[in-house]
Amino acid sequence: MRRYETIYILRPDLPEEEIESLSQRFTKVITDHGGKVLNEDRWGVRTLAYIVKKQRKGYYVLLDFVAESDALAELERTFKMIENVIRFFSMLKETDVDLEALEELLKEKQKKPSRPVTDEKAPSEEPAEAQPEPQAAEGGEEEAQPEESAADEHEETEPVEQGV
Amino acid sequence: MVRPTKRRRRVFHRRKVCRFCTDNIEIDYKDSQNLRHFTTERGKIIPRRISGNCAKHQRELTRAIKRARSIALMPFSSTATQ
Repeated sequence: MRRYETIYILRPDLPEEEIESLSQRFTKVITDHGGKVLNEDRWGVRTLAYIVKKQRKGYYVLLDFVAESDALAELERTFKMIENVIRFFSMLKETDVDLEALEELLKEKQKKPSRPVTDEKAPSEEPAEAQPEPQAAEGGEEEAQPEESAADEHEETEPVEQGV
Repeated sequence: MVRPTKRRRRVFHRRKVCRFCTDNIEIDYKDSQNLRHFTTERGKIIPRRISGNCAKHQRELTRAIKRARSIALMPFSSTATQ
C-alpha cells in the first residue's frame, strides 16, 4: 500500500450538494480499489494564482489516502472525466505503508491536539499566519523583501559589473 | 544584465545561513504563504546565492514551489501589482 496526497480543484460556483456527491464519488473510487481515505480537508474557495479553465477562483480539496497505485490511476481517470474538476495533483508520500500501524499512529496524534505537531499534514493552514512574521524579522532585511533590490545587490559579487 | 549598483550595500554584510537549517521549518508545497518568501514579486524563485539556503533545502524548496505552481497556489509569473 502506498500513501498518496491528492489535491483537486473544483469550480467555485458549485452547490454544496454537488461538492458532497463528487467527494463521495472520489472516496468510493479509492475504497473500491481497496484503499482508505485517511483525511479529507476542504480548503474551500480560494483565489487561484492564475486563471485555470477560465476560472479565477477554485474550491480546493485535499485528500490524504492509502491505496495501491491502480486506485490512483482510476481516481485520476475519474478526475479527467468530470468537467467540474478544473485541476488535480497527486503526490506519493510513502511507499510500503502498513495501514493498521499508520492508523494507530494517527490516533495517537489526535489524542494530544494541544501541541502543534510538526508533521507534513499539519502546516496546511494554521502556520500560514503564524510563521511569516518572526521569519522576516530575523531573516535580515534582504530576505524580507527579496525582489529587484536583492537581485541588484548581487551583481556586486561579480567585479566586472561594478565598474559600470 | 547590467544594473545600477547600490554603493550603500557594498559594505553591508548579510546573514547567509540557510533559514531551513537554523529554524527547522518544514518545506511544504501547500504552504504557499511561506514559499512566497523565496520568490520575487513576479513569482520567480530566488537563487540560493541570494537567499543563502543550503543546496539540500534549495532543492526541496524548488520542488515545493513548482508543485505549488502546478495547482495554482503560486503563480508561474505575475505582474508586481497583482
